Amino acid sequence: MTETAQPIPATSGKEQPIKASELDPKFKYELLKIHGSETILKCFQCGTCTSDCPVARYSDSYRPRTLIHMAQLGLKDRVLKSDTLWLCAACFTCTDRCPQDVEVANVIRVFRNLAAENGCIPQVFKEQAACLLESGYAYKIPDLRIKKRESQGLPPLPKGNAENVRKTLKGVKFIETVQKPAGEQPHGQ
Amino acid sequence: MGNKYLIFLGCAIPYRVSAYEISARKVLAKLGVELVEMPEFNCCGLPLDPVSHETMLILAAKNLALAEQQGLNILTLCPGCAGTLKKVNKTLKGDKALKEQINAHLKEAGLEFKGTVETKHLLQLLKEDVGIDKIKASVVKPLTELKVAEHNGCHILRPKEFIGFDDPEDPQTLKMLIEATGATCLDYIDETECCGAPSVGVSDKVALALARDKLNHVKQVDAQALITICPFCHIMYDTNELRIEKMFNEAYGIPILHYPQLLGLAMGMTPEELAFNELRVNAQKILKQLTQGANKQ
Repeated sequence: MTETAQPIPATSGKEQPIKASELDPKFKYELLKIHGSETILKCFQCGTCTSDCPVARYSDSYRPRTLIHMAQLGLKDRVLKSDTLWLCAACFTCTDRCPQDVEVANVIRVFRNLAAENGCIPQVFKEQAACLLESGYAYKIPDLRIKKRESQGLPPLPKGNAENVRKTLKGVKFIETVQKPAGEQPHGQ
Repeated sequence: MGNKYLIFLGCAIPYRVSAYEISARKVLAKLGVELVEMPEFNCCGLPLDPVSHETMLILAAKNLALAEQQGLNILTLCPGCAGTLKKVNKTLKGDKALKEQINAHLKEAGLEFKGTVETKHLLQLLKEDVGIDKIKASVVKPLTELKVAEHNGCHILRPKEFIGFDDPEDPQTLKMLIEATGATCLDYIDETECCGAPSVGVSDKVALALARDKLNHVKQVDAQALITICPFCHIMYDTNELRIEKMFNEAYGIPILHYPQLLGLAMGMTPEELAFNELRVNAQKILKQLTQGANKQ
């Protein structure tokens, strides 16, 4: 039979006492205005999201309900600096099952986007962004693979047109952040 | 637009899942679905959504705008690409201000999103456009000896508000398509659970623990193979099966097949034609069983 998976160390910081000075009472109103997190105040903390979350089952730190509660309370820094934020697999089970119609997965995505704007970008996303800007694709498709297509009876791979990708992404804050040399990037993970 | 589609490959399939593309093209040709190549494409946007929703919207809209120029609906083999293109199409069509904002970016490359094409995933096309009856009629070597399990993956079904296909809590399409080949599709615990792939790179441990439990549940019902319809789910199980076996001291030996590989076998195609050699987990055992079964008949 299946053994229980080893817990992942908790680093959300939720165990530390909360200081009143940490609270940002305006944070929840900022979230109401962002595309994706408009539903955050409908959450009444029932916990359906966390109990149905496949990732929460294997991690002892990723808890969507807790993250939403922290945001409602105004613990902006703790939410945006939490590295467990990045564990969400975006399976959308939470969104589909929420009895209050909170778009839970989208709210988590907004937290991640805000964290990324502050420079907290896990390495894997930096690599994908670099690849996208260079080739138009999210992964570095080896030349060998591209050449092999003909012998496999496959048509040539359509071009990624990276030049046009870069043109359309001009002015996007995230892209500007990852394009800066490492030294000039805000301190992240 | 009939049975003619623009095929949108996405990045993961040409990167490392060519067996899926090879087998899908073969079975679609046999079923009379005409595929037109995209003149160019870029990442659908989904991989970068966690870090920048705006980037995702622009990338998806750019692909949709390119398809609109061709005047054809899109077919994808990847549920992630299908879900993203469907979602962005619907979102931008319903939000004029956002559409204008995204189109300002596309203008830099001489493109404009209008919202005139729809996207379907292979599974949806097989069910809605080709139809189960036609698929059954294409079977010349029914796989009656085989007992398999299915893994739908998440993005083919969720969020249901945008996907609008099948029931995410009790999906039936893939099961019906598997049974159309003559094989038996077994039920198992937590069938609709995520494979864990999106967490790879952030926490491999969590991701592999998820995949391990799925493989355990598939093993419990003695499934001879697991059938997938997503490049990421396939990588998660096929590429990582040996790694999971080693990490957790388990033994599976369960081959992971792309659905069109299964259908192709039932259509009488050879394992070579269907690129079985690209699979990491050896499928010889079931192939041998099928050959012996056929000889008996």
